[in-house]
Amino acid sequence: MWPVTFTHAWALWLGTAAVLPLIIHFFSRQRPRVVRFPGVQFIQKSRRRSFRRTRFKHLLLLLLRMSLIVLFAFLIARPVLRRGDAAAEAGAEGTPAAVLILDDSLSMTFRAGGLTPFDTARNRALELLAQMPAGVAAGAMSTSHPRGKLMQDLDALAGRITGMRPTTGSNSCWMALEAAADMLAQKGASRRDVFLFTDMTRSAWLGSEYRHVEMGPGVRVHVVDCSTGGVNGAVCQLLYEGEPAVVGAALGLKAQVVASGGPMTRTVQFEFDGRVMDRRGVDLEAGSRETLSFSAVLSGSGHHWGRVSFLNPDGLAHDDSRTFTLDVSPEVSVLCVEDQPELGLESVSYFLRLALNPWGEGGRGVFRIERAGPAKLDELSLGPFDVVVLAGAGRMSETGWRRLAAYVSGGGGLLVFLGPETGDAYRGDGALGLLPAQVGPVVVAAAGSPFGLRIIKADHPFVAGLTASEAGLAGIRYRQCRQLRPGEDGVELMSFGPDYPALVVGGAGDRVAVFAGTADERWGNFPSTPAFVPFCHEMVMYLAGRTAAGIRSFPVAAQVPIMFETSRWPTVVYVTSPGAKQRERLLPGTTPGRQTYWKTDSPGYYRVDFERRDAQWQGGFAVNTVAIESFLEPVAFEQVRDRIGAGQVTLVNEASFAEGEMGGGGGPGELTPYLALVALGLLLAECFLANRFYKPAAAPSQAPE
Amino acid sequence: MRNIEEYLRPDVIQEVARLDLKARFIIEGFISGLHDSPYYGFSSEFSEHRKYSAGDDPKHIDWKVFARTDKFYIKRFEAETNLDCHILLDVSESMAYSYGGVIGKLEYAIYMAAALGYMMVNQQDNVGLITFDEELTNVVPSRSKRAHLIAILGVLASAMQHRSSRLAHCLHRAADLLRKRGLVVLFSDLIPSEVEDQQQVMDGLRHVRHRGHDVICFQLLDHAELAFPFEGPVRFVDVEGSRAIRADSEEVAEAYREEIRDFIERYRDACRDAEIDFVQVDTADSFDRVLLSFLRKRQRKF
Repeated sequence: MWPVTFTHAWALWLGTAAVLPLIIHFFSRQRPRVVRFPGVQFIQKSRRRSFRRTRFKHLLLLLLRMSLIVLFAFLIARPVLRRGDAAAEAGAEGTPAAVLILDDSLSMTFRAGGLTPFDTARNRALELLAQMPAGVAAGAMSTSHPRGKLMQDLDALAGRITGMRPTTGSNSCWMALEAAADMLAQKGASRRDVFLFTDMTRSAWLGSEYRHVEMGPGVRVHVVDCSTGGVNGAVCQLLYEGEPAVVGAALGLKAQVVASGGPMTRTVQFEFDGRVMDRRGVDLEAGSRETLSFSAVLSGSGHHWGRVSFLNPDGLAHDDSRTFTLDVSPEVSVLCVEDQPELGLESVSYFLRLALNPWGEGGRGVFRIERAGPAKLDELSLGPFDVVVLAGAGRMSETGWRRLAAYVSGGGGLLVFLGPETGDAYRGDGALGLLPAQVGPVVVAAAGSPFGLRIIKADHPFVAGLTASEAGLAGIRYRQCRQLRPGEDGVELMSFGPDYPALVVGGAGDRVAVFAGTADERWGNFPSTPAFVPFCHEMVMYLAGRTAAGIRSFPVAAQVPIMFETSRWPTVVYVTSPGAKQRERLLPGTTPGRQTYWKTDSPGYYRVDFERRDAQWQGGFAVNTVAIESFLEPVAFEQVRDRIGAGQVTLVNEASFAEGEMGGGGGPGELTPYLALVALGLLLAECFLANRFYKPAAAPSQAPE
Repeated sequence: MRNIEEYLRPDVIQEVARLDLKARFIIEGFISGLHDSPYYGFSSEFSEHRKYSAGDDPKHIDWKVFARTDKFYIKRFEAETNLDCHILLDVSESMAYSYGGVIGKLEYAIYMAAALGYMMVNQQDNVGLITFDEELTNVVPSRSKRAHLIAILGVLASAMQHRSSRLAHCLHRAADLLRKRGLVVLFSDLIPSEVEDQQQVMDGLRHVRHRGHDVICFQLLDHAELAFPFEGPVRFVDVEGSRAIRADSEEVAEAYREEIRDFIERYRDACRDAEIDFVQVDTADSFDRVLLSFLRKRQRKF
């Protein structure tokens, strides 16, 4: 038995069009005209005589035409005949199946000479397709889109491979291999091959230490090495260091550059807001990396962007620069309230002010500090201040508490350091309504066992920030403290010991914090320890509602959210991609929500312009390549081979699909040319017979004698 | 003014309104065409002399005139009155058929009958007329008076019937009716009705012949009946009977032509066997063809 398979089986449905001649015949029947005629008896005899001959002609032509349509449907379906052993194989559909996988990750675009690894992979895949005999069920996919289906139309498959383009993202081969295994498992083929065209870099086989893919015992995996070699340098990582991104703070940036494939000499440039800030030369050995530090002063609030890049790019240009964005907050304004604000070194708030602004002047650092006495609270406008700190202020009046309560409910922050002076004034109605904890009497630690400061609630944002700053609390000692009793909304974050809460936060939106110790060294040494600085910074920033923002960037191919404020007017968002001359308007043009998305396809800085009827402002986001794509050192094939469960896994330089390996017996045969010949013959026969049958008979010019 | 010979064409004779004038013009055109021909002079009564011309029968040379003048003159004779001619005219509905032609079969036959009657009366021959369809509808006995011609023309002018024909039956009736031997001229399409067949029609003709008559049978057929010029699907309805048939014209055309040819040939063979003159006439033909056939027959008789 010689089974026949079809490349486009769907086209067989076109064969139903064979009924068209019949339909056309019935729908185009002419209504006969009526003629009165004396010789009807002769017509009757004539028709009887010509009926058989005519019916035969009509049936013959009808059959010819229907056969032609069916034949054309077969031609479009491209039948393939299997012969020999392949056809006789039991249970198998018999058609050899092959899946071609092209690694289209960023590393495949490295251009050392003429062709990139991806160009080489594509060319080799096309050559392989050209070698394949007709009838082979083949599929093609890329590692970025591990999906596809087997088809016998190799021309269409070649077109698909030709249309593949490398991406700037990072894609490993494991998912593509799993998808190929699924495809081949669905097809009961006599031979199953997977051809993987890759550059064998670490990124292509990411996770090879723990990944394992089961292809099946009958599957042969051919890993086609398309690497071209070469030296690649990359700025592979940017780290933000230093103070929170607030106006006046210093931006500390650490850029990690790496060399792979060989030694490398580069000049690294740091730009901030489009201005060149610094340049450094680096000289790296193969496989080594170096960290460069750059800094800049954040002089203005709002959106900023920067870039660290090589001045002399190499064959993989996308990873030669790394961009970032930074949102700089305005400086935090702090009102320090104490009983004697006119004092200098002796004042209660000395250590506090030293921690927040060691320069003692505005415009420098993150925090701007003003001082005032408790009496001033009655008349001073608190609106300009982000946080009010009561540094042992004992002369608080009820009016002062009420103004502070109004201030806190309006979004302000309040930090209270207690002390010996903070007695009755903190037990009044105003204080009780505002503070998250009830202030009790002074508690004295036992002789020889002072209070230590311990963290109670480590997952609180403030505590988490404090912990992240690596502040050590071990050496903090307090001889005395105020007894605190947390209220219903008070949360104890730190403690001096059992029943002695040290720090309680609460109030409206967690904007009030009470510390049970003093802000100076009268009760303990905390203000003079290194931990006091991050304590004050984190606490004030937390109460001010600021987060210590760092640099931001997105991996390439990510969908980046673009946020903006809502208004009664629609906001139009324009995005200017890196290298683009014109900005692009986000569809549908007006964005009704607070957020939209942008799909990134190339690394760099994307500028975003927001336009509203009443305002215009600017933002942006940075997109960078995945660092692992920059490492071009090849992975050992043995390491990969052991992770692929297949009948055979080989590393080759050239892919081949030899016909002799196809199951013997000559393999599949293309039937289309023969069918085309038959169709041509039928067509000629139809033309000849139609012309002969329907040639109009010449009417006799003379009557019969 | 038209040449008199032009009136032999069916399309031209239509221009003349009166039937008697039509008959006269046809005969005069025919006689004019026969001038100097051997067919002129079929009577025995001397009329005039004319110069001899090549092809004339030498037996008509007047030798006395030759003796006196040393020139050949031919004697011309007027008609004799010893011939009985009976015209049988089929006036059934099938005879009225015409497909895009100038005149129908019946019209053609009427003109011919009128012309023959005119000619016979002028030659002092007796001429009679019988019309028939299912039955004999009019019987005009044979006379040679000029007033008799008026009666014949009157019958011809109102000869149209809308009934089917029973040709064989009518031929038998006519054979029984015509006792005196003479010349019988039949104008018909000879298409048998549903109740008869071709053999029966031939039996009728033989019956007439066996009564001792000389028979000339003119089978008049429309040009469309011979050429079958139809195209596409057509529903053919019999003009006389109830028969109707749907056919693709191109498919049956060839077979039809063969059928009609066989039909005519069968009549021709049967008539030859029965010593009947059979002339198949296309209504598109000119009248002289019919008249010439008649003259040949009459010349053989006298």
